[in-house]
Amino acid sequence: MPFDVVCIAVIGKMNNPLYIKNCSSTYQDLKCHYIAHTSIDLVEERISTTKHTDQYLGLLYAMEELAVFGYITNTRVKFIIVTSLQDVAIKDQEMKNLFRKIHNSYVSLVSNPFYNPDSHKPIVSANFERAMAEVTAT
Amino acid sequence: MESYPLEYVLHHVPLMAVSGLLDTEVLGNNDGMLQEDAGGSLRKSLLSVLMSKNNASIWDAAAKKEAPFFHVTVLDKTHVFPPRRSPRATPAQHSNLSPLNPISPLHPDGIMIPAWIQRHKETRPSVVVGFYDLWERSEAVDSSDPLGAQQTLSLERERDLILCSEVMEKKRNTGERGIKFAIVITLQASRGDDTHVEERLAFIRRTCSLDNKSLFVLLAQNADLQLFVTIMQKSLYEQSANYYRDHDKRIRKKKARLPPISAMRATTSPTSANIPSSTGTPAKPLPPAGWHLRYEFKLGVFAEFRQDVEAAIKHYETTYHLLIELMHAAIGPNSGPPMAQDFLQPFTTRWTEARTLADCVNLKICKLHLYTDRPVPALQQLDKHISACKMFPEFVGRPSTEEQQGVSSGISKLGNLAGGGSFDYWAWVSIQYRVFGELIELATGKIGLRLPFPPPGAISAVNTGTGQAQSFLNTISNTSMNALTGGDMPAAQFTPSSATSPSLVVQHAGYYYFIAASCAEERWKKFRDAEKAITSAPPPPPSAATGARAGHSRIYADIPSSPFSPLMSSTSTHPQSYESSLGSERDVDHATFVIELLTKSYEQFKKHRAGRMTLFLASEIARVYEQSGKYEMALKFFERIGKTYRKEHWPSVLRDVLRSSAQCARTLGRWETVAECLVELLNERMSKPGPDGESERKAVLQELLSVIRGEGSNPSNGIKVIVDMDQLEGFLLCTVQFRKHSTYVGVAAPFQICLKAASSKSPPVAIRISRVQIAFSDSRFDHVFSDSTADGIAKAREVQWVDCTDCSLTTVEEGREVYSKAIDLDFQPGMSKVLEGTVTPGEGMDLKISAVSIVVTAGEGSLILVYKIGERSEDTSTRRKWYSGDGDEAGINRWTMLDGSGEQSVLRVIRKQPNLTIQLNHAPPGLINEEYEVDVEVVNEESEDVEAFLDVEFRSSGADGLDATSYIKQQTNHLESPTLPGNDHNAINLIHLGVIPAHARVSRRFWLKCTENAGERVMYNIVNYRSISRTATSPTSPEKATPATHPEFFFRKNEPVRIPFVAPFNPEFKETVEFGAPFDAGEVGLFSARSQDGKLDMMHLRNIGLKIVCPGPWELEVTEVMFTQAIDETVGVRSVQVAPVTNTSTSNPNGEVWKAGYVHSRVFRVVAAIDPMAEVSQIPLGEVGVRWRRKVPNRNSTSWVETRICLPKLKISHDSVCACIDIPPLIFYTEPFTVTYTLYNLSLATHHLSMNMEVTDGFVFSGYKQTQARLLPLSSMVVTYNCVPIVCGKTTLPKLKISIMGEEADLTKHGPGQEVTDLRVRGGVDSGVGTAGELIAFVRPKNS
Repeated sequence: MPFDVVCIAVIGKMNNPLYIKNCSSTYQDLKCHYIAHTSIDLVEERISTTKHTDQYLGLLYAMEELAVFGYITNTRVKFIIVTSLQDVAIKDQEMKNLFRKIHNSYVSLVSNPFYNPDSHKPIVSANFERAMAEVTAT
Repeated sequence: MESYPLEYVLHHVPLMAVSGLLDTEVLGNNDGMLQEDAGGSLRKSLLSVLMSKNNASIWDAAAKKEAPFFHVTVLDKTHVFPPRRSPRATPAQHSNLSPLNPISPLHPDGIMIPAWIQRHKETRPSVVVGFYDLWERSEAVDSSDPLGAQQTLSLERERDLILCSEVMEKKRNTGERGIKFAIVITLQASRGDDTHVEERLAFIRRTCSLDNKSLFVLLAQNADLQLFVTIMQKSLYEQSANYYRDHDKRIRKKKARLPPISAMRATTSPTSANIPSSTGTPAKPLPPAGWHLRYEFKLGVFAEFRQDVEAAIKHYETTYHLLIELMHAAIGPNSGPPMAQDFLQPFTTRWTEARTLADCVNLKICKLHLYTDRPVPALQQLDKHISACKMFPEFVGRPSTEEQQGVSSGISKLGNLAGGGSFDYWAWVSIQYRVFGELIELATGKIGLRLPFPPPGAISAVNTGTGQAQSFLNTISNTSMNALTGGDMPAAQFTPSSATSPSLVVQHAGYYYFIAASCAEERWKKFRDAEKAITSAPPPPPSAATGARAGHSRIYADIPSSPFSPLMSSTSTHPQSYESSLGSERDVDHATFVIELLTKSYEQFKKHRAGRMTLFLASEIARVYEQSGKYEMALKFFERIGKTYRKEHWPSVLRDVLRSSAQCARTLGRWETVAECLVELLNERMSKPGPDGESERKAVLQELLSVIRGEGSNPSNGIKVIVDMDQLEGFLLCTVQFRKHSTYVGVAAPFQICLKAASSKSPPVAIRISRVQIAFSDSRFDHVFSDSTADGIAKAREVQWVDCTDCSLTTVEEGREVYSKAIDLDFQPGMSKVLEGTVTPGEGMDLKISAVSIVVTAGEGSLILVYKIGERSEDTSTRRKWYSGDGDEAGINRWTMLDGSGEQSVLRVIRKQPNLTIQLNHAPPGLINEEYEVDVEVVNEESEDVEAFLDVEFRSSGADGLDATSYIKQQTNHLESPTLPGNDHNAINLIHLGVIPAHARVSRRFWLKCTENAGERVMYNIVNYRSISRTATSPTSPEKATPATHPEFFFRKNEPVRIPFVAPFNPEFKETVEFGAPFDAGEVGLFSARSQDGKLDMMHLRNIGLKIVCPGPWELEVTEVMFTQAIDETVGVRSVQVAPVTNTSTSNPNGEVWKAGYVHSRVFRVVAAIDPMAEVSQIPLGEVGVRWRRKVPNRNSTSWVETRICLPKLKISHDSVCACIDIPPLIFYTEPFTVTYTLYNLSLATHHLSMNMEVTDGFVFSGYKQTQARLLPLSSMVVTYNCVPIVCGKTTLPKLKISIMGEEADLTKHGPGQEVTDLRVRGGVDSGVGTAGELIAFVRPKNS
């Protein structure tokens, strides 16, 4: 992968944070939260101004040497991947695959009958955690 | 952007000079005054049209390529351009801006100054346009005077020649400089199509050898100046471009004489062989590379003048590269070709000039890229520029041990230079980004650049190779931009091969302003570091500042100290310049700078409707305010942004905001705000997970309590803080629940207040709540639970249920009472407390729990957490829960689900209609005249006492209003005055039934009476009642309330009962008439003479049979049936005797019982004597009175009532002739029978009768069909005829029609006389007179 994942965020349909993982050492957790929160703006803009056919939303914005990519599920759950800004082109397919992985783990999380997707509580799941670690490791 | 020399920055447009438009020149013209005036105003307006575009925004010049325009300058008519130096000119003839000219500011080695551009922009026109008037004779030509015409023509020619010489003079002068010359000839009076004028114009053109494009004719009358100027400029545009092209060629020629750049790079020392030799000053002249640079820049400027953007970009880029190369060569002793040592040394004026030029050229390149819709190369140019300038010595920061942390994480790449960059560097980067942002903003605003560019998924990965991507971006931008400007953004299509290069995406200006702001902040930081380094001579040990220095750990981390030794700085070689820049830096208000940039960014994001990004920026602004000590402003911002994070549940962000707000408020001494923030920070979600967070929250709680105690404020009296817990994410949640949605007045309604910890570890340590106050919408119900301060159940239970149903009413203040109880209010972490209480409302209302306040006291201060239950919106997601507990640990303690969802904070108190029934005991149907007994019984089925009032009304069931035939009374005696005063006899109102005890009944007896009109009557029984409760909380009601005075207290229940009333007796009458012979001595004679006075009476004899039938259903007791004869005083009635034939008159005092269907019969014989001459039609006879009562077993107290039955009146007929028809009783089929007519003459005159037999179908008859007879006064005669029936059944009998003819009158003369109608039929079963006067008989079948 030609890029480093700095942060992965899962945002609920009510724009509440479900899961925010900071994978970097240089950035503070708070920064990740801010990025995840501000990216909702761009997600909303993307899905309202374009005929949104793809779940992958592409690059949302680049700011402060970070590039923020977005993905939205049918249930309006948003996935955000933040990478460090580098002078290389990131193939959308690669990014999409990463999002697919997150989506799959989220699907298996929701399939758990004891998980309430409508609760505003953050995701606490060892499996999900492990899957996210795999995503960032690859 | 405006900080740079405007000449460098502005867009260049060709210059046009106009002459002949100034008023002073006009004065020299001694033409007619009239003409002059018109021409003067025309010139003025022409001038204003021409100059108007000078002020036009020049940023978007290139966007309107189709409408080229000029910058216009005005020249005096006599202006003469200095002749150009010949190429072979002596060195002394160098331009005074050339480095070769000793008086030039560039002498000896300057590259470029803005004045050079200014010269071309303002004093070196590409086109000169002269405005001239064509002389025209003022008077009309007299065609008949050939001499005059000739004279005029020669005058004109003379004038034209003068004009031509002027023009040619000018043309020669401008031509020497290569300036294009054109003239505009104004025709004041003539029209353009005048052939004579055309000839003159052609002459002028020929004489001056002007081409078509250089001579314009302006008609002064009705000229559209705007259009004229546009057309003129358009046609001159190409020529002006040629002018600049000539310049271009000239420069190129000069440049070609220089040694090529590659050669210069190869040589080790600058060669001055072929460059224009300097004047021999000791200073080193401009090296050839500098000349190259200068020429390239000039080429770029001229290309821009002729709007050749592509060429301009090319030349500017070359200029830029050369310049950077030169500058790098100057600072890098070992790097790069030594083509310009000792030239362009840092910290010199030339260096500053060069930097300005580099910045401006960079800006130009970016701008021109944007003009041509290529945002990506523009961005790349910016990146290139920044990385190229990084190594400038003044930008190098002071080396420190912690370089990387020295720069905020967001701009670490920009800070990737030695020492993290100096404040000068950051100031410069900030300006670069700000300028770029401004350019982007202009581009989006003016030429409709759509961002982000490239749109997602637009670039194929195939093209992402370095060089290819570059060219691809350049090409795609043009095409896709055009496509984009038209419609909406197309859907992002991510093909498998698409790719995104985040660093090459151009975003809207807000992002660049934000970077600029970050850089400005970094500059501030660097400046502080530098200051500190100077003030603190012995630097602190490096390890002291290894703590978090990155951007946002601003509350608890103090301003980081950046230790470095000033001695290590590379800038130490230029201490003076460093000192001066530091000095000027001290005067800069950094915070304002940063905030200005952040605000610019904020506005951009706001424009793009990125609300959350603006919140982020607002938090940044607040942070900067805080850093700059403007805590008021910071607090204002923090307060504004917290809301969204709270709403969308972003605790970690909210925590940061709250901590910052608390910090600001603390500094400002606003302890209420501090407490409010601290309360919210107690929420576990706001802190880090794990023990860190817990200890953090413990500290927060400690601080909170000390704040409340007032330790921060002065004097420390303790403060009272009210926190609205519904507006923040609290650590303690409060819900209320009424068990039921509604209750009845007087019925206790239980409710529960559940205080629940927001998480298992909140509050971090056990706290003691001093009071829990529950405010109801009606303050009479308010509850206060105070802490018993007893060490209650130390065992930590998950849910603690507290029984508060036995509260006592205590007075808290003057005239205010609340229910209160002391309970254990120790609140352990993670626990829930359920306080169950009851309210017993005493009246109907909607009772609402409006607020719950939890009071925590510390010292003298108190913290009041208010939960505004009444203002909460409806929550439909959670089921209603009720904790069923009994306080006993062994008992059943669990949550049970109630119906419905959310929070039931409203109790509907219904004034329950106490169960009260009205029963009627009576025996329908009632009988007319009877005193009908009704018992109204009111039963209280409640367990409470009820006070009741009864209204009764009795009337016919028909229309409203009084019914005069119906009476009601409550007493048993005297029916005639049955009611209380003031009440009508149909109704009795307000019968006080008193207080009816629970489950008791009260009855009242009424008697109803109807005098006439059998039928249905209605008895309305209306009870107004109220329950009297002793337990409920109720308003004090007046002592003696009645429904009339206080209708609001009473329920009303109406029980209408329909009662049929029937007549007790049905009388039937049968009347028979007896006829006696006239003058019969007996009383039955038709006439009789009285013995006493000998008068003649007409006697009427009747037998009247009366049958009184009892229809039932009740048995009646009858004591007396009595006939009372009516006293008749009609004139002419001599005597009336009515005598019962059967003397069965009963007068049994005990009464005899008439059962249903019993028939009581009476026959009365009536003999009436009437004066024959009197006109008497009927005589009343009398009535039969029946005294009776209903037979009720075991009761004799009912009074007797009398029903009167009236006998029918005796009808007297006054016909003079009457006929009695005797028909045999039985008539059989085909058996002959005789019908006898007996005719009586009742008058005292003789009557002639004419008789006709009217034949019918059913019979054949024998006898006269027509006959006549004479009837003497008071005589009778008999007429008989025989009939044979020929049909069976009820048949019409042949009838004898009897007519009375006039006395001795001719039958034929008078026609049919008066018909006898008094027909009486005797005998014959089922025979009689039909309705039409026909005789009817019944014919039976023949006996076998």
